[in-house]
Amino acid sequence: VKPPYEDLSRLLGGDLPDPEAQALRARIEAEPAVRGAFDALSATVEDVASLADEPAPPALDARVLGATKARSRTARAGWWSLGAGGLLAAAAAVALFLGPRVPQITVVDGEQLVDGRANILADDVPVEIDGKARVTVEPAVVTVAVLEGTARLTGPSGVPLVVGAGESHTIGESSTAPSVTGTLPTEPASRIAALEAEVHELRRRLEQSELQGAFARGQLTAQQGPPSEWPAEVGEAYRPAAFEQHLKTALADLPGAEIHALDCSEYPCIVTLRITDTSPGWEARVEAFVDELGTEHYPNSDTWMAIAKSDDEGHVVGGVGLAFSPEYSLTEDMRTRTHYRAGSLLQEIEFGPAKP
Amino acid sequence: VALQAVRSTDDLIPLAAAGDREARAALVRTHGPSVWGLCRRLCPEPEDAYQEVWEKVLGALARFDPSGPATLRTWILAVTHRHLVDLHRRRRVRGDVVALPELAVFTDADEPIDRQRRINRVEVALSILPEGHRRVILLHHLHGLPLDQIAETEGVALGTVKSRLHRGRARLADLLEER
Repeated sequence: VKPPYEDLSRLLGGDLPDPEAQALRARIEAEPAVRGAFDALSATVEDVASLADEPAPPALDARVLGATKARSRTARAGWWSLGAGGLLAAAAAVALFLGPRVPQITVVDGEQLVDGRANILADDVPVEIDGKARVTVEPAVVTVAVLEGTARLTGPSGVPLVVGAGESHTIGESSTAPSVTGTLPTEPASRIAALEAEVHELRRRLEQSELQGAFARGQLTAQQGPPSEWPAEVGEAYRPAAFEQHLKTALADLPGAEIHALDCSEYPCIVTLRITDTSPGWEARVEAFVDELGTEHYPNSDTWMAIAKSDDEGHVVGGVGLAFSPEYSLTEDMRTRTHYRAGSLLQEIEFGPAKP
Repeated sequence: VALQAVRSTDDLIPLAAAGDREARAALVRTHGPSVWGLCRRLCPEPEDAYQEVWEKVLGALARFDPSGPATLRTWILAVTHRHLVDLHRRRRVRGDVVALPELAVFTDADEPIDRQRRINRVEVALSILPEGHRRVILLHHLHGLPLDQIAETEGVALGTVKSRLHRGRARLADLLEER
């Protein structure tokens, strides 16, 4: 059972109504777990307040003061993660290092390929890479595989060690403890064979990609679809103004739903709805609403719809993504793009439990 | 300009507004870390955002009234906040990819390792939060901006900002517990 962090936060901020506040205070007194959660939340707030603000890189300040209009975009490193896919989304990424500054990258989950110099915070483990390497973060396990150059890392005990070319090192539950002498721990033969295969595969992938910026961008484009421009000719009902108007009119018949976002920046228009009334049967009511809207204004159309739901201790949050397009008019890229756009918006709705 | 005679950064405003390089440098030195901290934690392209914010600040400095209700620091933070909200909205409607934020990982070698580790965990957990939640938490807890001012700049109701704050703090605590 998750601690009632949100209510504890409201209590901390004085935003919890009296009866609920009293009840929660009583739980804090009576239940060690709730007391612990309250203390943890308070400590978290203090931690945020104590974060340090370091100065900007000197070259950047110099540029500001030089009043130059130059932007850093052409010289920036680019490492990208897919926004969709959960709060701990894997960060499969490729880094390019074009400037003199050593990039700082955080990898929460997933893998990071590096070509050049970078400081990685892999889970809690700082890793300094100078060469070609892959850092993989799985729950409680960090693996650094080096293809060329070196990786310096600091294990949980604070002892630094160096991983050389062709070597790999794992920190976490499945690893042996880092050696105090800084050498790699002895690995069983099967593990070595697996690592060699892994390094071989990594080498192949790196050679294939040549780590060009276009690779990173192309990879993302494949998963997000290229931006979808509005066609020159499309029925009036699909255009932003009419879509919004039809939608708002129809929503009058769906109490407990509100527009979360309306995105017509690309074709087709997408709306996401936040469902505030998630009493039993809400999905069926939403489907009936979409049927009605489609029949009334979008006959001979393809309908893209997604229903998202999160349920946390009985507090249900509902979200709906919806788009209409003339039948068979969407290309595969457009479908991918629609899915990505709507998914990104829906993800914003799914950030936590609704209040009852 | 004899900056030794200057008593506070407010005194630098007319000089900086007139284009005095040393006065501008002093302002950037004083307020730059806060601006940079927000940009790097809230924006996938923090260097561009930082430069754009300072262009706005320095361009509008002549219109800032030191005798008004806002301090120079609060005003600069508000300009930064507004710009970051604009950038977020633009990114959102365009469906752009989101870059991982750059984080200062090796900030202070003298910090006790447990403390540094804890700070790193908080930075990572913050970077996972939805941007709107992260923005409210940082502006309120790290920079001390009142929630009503944050709501005004965000263009949303105070209740919405409070909701983001509470959900963000809850998620943050949850993530730190998970990890």
